[in-house]
Amino acid sequence: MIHNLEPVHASKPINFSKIFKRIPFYLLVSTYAFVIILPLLTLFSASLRSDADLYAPTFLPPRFTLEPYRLALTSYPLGSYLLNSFLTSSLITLGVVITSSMAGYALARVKLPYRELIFGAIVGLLLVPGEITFLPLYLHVNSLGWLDTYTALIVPFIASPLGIFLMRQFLKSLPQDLFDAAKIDGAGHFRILWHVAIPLASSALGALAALTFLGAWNMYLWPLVTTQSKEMQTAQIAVSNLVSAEGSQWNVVAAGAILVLLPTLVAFLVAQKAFVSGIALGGLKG
Amino acid sequence: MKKVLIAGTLVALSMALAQQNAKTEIQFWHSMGGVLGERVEGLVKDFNDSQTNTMVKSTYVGSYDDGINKLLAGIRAGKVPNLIQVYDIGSRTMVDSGAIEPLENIAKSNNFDLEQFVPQPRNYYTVDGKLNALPFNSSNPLLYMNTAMLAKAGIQYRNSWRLSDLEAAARKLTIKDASGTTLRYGIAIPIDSWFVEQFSYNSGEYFCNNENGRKARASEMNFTNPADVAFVDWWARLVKDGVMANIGRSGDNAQAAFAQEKAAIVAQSTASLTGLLKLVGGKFETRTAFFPFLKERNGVAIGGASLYAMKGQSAEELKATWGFISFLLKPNSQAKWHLGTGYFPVIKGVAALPNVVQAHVKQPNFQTALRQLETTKVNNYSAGCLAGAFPEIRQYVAGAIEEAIKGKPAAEALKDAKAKADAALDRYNSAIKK
Repeated sequence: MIHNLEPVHASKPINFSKIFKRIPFYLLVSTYAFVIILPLLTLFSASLRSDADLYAPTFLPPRFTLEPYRLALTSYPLGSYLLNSFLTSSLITLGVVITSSMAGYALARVKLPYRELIFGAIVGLLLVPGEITFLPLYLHVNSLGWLDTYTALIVPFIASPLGIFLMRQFLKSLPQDLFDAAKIDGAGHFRILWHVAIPLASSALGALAALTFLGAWNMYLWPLVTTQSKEMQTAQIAVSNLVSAEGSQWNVVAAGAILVLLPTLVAFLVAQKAFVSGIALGGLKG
Repeated sequence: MKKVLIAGTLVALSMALAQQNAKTEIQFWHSMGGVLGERVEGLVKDFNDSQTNTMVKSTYVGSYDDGINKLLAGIRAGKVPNLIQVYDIGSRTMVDSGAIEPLENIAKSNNFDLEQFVPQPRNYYTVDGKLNALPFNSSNPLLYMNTAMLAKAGIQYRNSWRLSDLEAAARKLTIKDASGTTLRYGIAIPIDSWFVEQFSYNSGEYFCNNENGRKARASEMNFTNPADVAFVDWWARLVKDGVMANIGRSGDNAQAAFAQEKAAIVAQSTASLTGLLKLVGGKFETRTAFFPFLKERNGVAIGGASLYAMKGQSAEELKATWGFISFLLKPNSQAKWHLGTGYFPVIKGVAALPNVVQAHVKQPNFQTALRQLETTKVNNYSAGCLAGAFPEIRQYVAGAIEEAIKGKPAAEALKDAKAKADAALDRYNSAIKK
């Protein structure tokens, strides 16, 4: 009895001091989180103000109004822009997930000639900045007659060196026994990929998907340059369309930004874990 | 009955489709976002509704810089629009690109009398003796004044300001607390090379050599002229004394400071008029005045952007492009554009239209830019500087203002910036020669 009670008694003061010790840490983290979220809250607050209240020095809008949202949705075809963004981002993500898991599997588990060399070349591609390939890629897409189509917005991005790198590293870290067992049971490469590799790599794939979606969603220059008509433009272009060089209606811009931000925000909340592990895996790249 | 209806609808549909196919479609790229973008789209819609065989497809292509990048990529691929909007300082580059069809050629072949243009915007876009582009959205810089504050400080409103008078007024308008911290600034100007350029012109100085690059290609910048040195020195002094708000490079900050009554006077483009009045929202009376000058007022150059027709269009397309351009030049379109945005009409006689006169009586601020334009001397000062690499040069000038504010003597800051700007201009000019 006494023996049982003792640890309970002893653990209480320890817990207390542990909590006490954590206070500064949480204080610091909360402050940091607040600093990060403040611009977002300010944006949200601005999106609920009328023109005249825009610069009123209060955190909350003096008078709530949804007028900026109405303007953003009616004056600009934000809906069709959002649909384009959603379609292209989803298909790019799907493409990257498929190509990365297949290539990653091949590079990690299939005995190919010059496998390391191929992998080295793919890693090397990570070092090539997008600015260098931009114009050649544009000319290539043009010669294929793809300008101003969804194809131009999607196809160039359905394979990603980062994705292949991530999947190869992840699949390599799994025990070889699993793959051997599947092989002994008579599974071919596709079956192994589908029934062994992909289920085991689902966390890595989820992270990759989340990162890819975010990256595709935020693309600006490529869709701007390759599209020729309004019907093909994406949400990021719509946001920039709300901004005027000679002074903008920032409340409408804010409302538009919130509307464009919303899908990624929702995606983040749903796939928060995947996002965090993805950033931990990838180190960077958003 | 039903069948007849269906058949009728089908016939009508196919006729509509056939008509659709017969239409000449032209691509128009513009960089007007926000309210200005809505106004452009409005004009395009008006035009399309009035046409049976021409259709303008307008596309917003991002900022002016984005638009130029898109165009450059397009030139490589042979995918260019029929008409594109390019900012004022891209004029030299557009002419040098050789990818444009000068407006003067198109206008002449359509028997359009160029004398209908207001001379200053026409001058600005005339390069090597030819009008190259349609001055579409043309603006000039204004002072926006809070008249309630002016009245309280006992300052009489007037539209013409010498720099020294503006300083005296700004000092009077400044309110400081006991410790010397400024509570309200007399004036705020965004750190933007454009205002330095305009101060050159307005004081009768060239911003770049060879008479603003109008007599021959500019080979050197000239912003170390006495007017600009005085202006930047004035700027730095006023910031140091807490009379001018240092609001950074964004024009939006100037508008915010003005609307929040943190600054009594701000310098902004006339194109900001509609937006700024909206921000003020009737809290106080706003009056606009001409841009300041050093000793004697010459008048300013225009800013804004123009529309270029691209080379290589079929005769049919060119005809449609001209159709759209001449629609934009119609007095009614010009009036609509002017009153909807604050940009001024570029065709003579628009200000005399009854609806424009009426609007000017209701909102006299719309007149200031026009008056400033009318009273501007037509010469190579007010033609504005024409130089390559202008976007880069602007960065150096803005940097020089910042250096001066930090304490570097204005003359020295501008001299250092000139060295960098001249190098950029050299690079551009030698690349063109090749």
